[in-house]
Amino acid sequence: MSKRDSNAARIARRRFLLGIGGVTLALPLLPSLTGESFAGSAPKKAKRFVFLFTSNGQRPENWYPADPSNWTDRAANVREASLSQYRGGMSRVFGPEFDSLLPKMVLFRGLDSVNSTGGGHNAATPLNASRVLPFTTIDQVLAQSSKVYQSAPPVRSVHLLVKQAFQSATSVSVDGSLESVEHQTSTAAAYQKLFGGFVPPDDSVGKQRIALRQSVLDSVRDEYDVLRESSRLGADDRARLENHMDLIADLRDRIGATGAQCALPRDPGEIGLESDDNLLAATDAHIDMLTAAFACDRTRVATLMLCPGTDLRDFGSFGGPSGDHHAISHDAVYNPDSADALGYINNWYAKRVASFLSKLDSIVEDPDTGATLLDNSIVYWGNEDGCNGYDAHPGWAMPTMLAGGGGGAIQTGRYIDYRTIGKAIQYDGGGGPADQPTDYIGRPLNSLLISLMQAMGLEPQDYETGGAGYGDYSDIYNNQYSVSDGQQPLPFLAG
Amino acid sequence: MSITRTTSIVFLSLALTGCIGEIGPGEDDDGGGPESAAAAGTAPTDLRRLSAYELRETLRDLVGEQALAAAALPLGAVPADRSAPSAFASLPYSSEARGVTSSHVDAHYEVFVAIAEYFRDNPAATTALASCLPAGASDSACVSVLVADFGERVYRRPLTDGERAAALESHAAGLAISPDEAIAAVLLRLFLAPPFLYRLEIAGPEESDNVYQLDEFEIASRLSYLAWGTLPDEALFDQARAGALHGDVLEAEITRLFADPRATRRAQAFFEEWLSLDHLAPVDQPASFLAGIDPALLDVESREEMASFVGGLYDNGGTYSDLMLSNGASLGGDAIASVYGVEANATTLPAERAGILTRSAFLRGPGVSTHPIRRGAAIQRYLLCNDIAPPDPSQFPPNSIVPPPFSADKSARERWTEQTSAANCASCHSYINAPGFALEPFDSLGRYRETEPIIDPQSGEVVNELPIDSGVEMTLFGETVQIADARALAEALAESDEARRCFVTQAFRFTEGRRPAAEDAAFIADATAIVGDTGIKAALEQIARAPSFQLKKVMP
Repeated sequence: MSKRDSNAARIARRRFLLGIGGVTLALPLLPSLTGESFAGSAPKKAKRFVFLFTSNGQRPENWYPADPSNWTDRAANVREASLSQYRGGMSRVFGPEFDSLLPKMVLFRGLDSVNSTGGGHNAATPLNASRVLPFTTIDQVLAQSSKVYQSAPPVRSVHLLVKQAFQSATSVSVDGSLESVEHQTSTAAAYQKLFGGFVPPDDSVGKQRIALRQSVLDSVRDEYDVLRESSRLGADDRARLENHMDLIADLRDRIGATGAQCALPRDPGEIGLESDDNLLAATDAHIDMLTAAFACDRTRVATLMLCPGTDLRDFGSFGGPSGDHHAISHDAVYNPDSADALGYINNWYAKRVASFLSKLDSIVEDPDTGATLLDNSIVYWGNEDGCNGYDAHPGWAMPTMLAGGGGGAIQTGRYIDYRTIGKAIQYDGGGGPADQPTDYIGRPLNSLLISLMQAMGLEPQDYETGGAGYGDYSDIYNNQYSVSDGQQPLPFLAG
Repeated sequence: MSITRTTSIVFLSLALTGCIGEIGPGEDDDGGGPESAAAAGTAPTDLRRLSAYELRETLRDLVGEQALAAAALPLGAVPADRSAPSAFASLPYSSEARGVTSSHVDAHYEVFVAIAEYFRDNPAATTALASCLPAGASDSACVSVLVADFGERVYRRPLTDGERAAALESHAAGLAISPDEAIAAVLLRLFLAPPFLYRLEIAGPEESDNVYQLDEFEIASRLSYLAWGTLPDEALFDQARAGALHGDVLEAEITRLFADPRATRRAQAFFEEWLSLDHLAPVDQPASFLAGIDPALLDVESREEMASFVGGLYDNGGTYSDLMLSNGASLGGDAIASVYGVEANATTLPAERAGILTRSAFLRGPGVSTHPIRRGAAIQRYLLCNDIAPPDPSQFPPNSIVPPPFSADKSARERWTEQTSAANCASCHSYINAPGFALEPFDSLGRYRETEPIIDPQSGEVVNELPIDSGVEMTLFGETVQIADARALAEALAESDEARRCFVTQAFRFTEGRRPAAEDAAFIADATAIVGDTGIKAALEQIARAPSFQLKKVMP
């Protein structure tokens, strides 16, 4: 049986199990198998996906927190620890500005882009798990999916890039015809694309509706109040009904709290990037526009490149270390001062990430549950290169962080290590000497992409293209990795 | 005959040293006062609410698949009714959950809002709720029909005047926005009402002190939730409205409901909870171990195969003995067929297999090595009704309650025996280990094996091959018996009246949402005989035939 046939059979099997496709079952299904899935269901709260990009890799000692003493083994070669223990500054890159966000984040160790015989700097790697091949990136799969958009949206996806004028534009996104998706560098054009002609809705009906539901809950509470007097109830029963009644009253008050309001962001106009002074303002403008675009449901898929691939920005003009970002990233292998400088640079970018996450988290989307825009989103901060051990940009140990959790699809607040401790990656390509330190072997990055698409509501038939899994599985470091592992989502990411 | 019974030396009572307790009828609480025989045989019960499963099934029957699909997301957020306090503790039945937390109330509200908004946004669909809709959405006569008729199904009884008035008030308030919004407000009001979520039994006349007769609608609901886990259908409601649910009519309804496919599903749900099949770990073994078996398919097929087996027994008069010994099967896929070493269309399993104990869904677990402790604890808890207490971490050195280390020259049995041999371990493990070891001829997927391959968990390579010893001496209901293997264990259980009693006790817990009390002893005895002679379905039906089925004793 070819891979494609086996895949088709599996999909047919899934459809069979879901009871769609007109197949009648000989015997009823287990209740727990039928309970979860409904064909054609629409999420009440839309999920959003945004990828944040920085380049030139990370230094492991800057990126990772101190090894926790309280790892919990979830399975062989999967362990996790709580991120909350890292309040007050998790690492050189993740400073105290992430404190309140830690419960909503996932930090990974041991995600390897496994086909790394090519060199570094393929900006699309975090989204297609390929170092060398053009391959459609998952943002494009999501943007075209009916699971993300049940009806045609105003904007399927938006792609933004902050770069100095002299730098070449790069792209993290590859579309279905294997063309790079151009990233918008103009703040004025981005505003026009997202909000041109858009008038935020009048929410007076929404307010009336909340008042109506509060009156319904008041009436329900009254019914509990009468019922609890029944002589047919035992003492425990009465206590339970009184508790229920109190919770109804509490719910009634909570739905009265004002929810997310869609409001137009400030029109930034054109922020010129001939001067480095405007880089921060442009970054902030893009972050504000994305936040408002999500709050107003103008789009649900975005990529924001905080810098271009192979970033050459010199942070001397921001009071940071002199020298371009890329050169520093190479020198950092041999020079502790450069390693520290690289930490400064990535902490600067991380502060922008924290600012974006905090803005998403300040918008309550669901007053009933308190779920914020961040809770309903998946924010993925990735890098074109790995946590380098030496002077090349190989693709193992990809610096990877998630925030949000996609409406509960991903269980957050965790530092998850997928490495096989003690088993070093054998590296023999990319120009690096074979005797340099690598890292313990992890899992294929492909699994993360599968997890993310599934967390956004997609099923294998929505993203598989002629074979199981997603992304590039070729040339996997002399078969050190299990292809079948890489065709599955990451274990335990959902909980 | 592979079992030898020796003189009963070890009695169960000797085992009650804080490790295990029996799941069975409790002490009789003498309440005093004259009572009828039926009232005396009625245990006091507390107020049940719909479990997450019952809530979903009930809503499905009320509003249909499409509207339910609109609420899929919040339905997924309704807290699970079965969750264990620790990894070693046994799970309660979903029916044993009581009361609500803020998470329940929030999720229920979200579910009801989603359904109400579905009908608001799809007015044409409201015709199914009341035929005068959607045209009459602002017409009070039409809305009164909706409240009276659909409301009766939601409340599972006719509404009182006050309840109707409350629903109509919500409609009037909603009209300020739109007629469709007003209908949505009515639906929200009805679903949020306590009689929907709670199984209230408060309407019948008093029989004696604290004992009340159920009214017709309450009997109908008891019956439908017992047999189906959902609300009564129209035929059953009709009998309730006619006041006919007694004698021959009740008997006919019992037979009708339990013969319905929904009753088979309900029975399958019992088996799933009894054996904790709803909490099976996913198949996580590496490809080298799986040898071509698709892990995702085995996940599903192993559970489906077990469900087909027990569902088939339920439908076809299978007895407890069949449950233990039958090797009939309906496989439904290549993955499970590979585990059993048969073709996918095989209808019987090889002779080493017998009943539920040797099916993949019962046997399998994570990792490449078996976990005889999990298996043994499952047999003690589920089949022998011995509540094994979880280990108390304060009584053991740190990190000692863990699987034994890998060793290339020791079998799983040898490693686990060493790991659990300390005196404070043995008090429980002397019960747990033996039945687990009897299942050692089956690997961690449930495949039969003549020898045990010793697999290095790091490299995944087979580094040794050792003989399997599945012979054990164990205590079975107070008797010390020699058991040769899984089949011998199944045979011993199949012959045991105590094992049948345990099965009936477990089914009672699932359907009644509580452990049997002293008042239930007569029912347990009857059903124990029935499950051995007439079958599983008849034993479940017996719950509805007990005199106490039509009575409610309030817990003071």
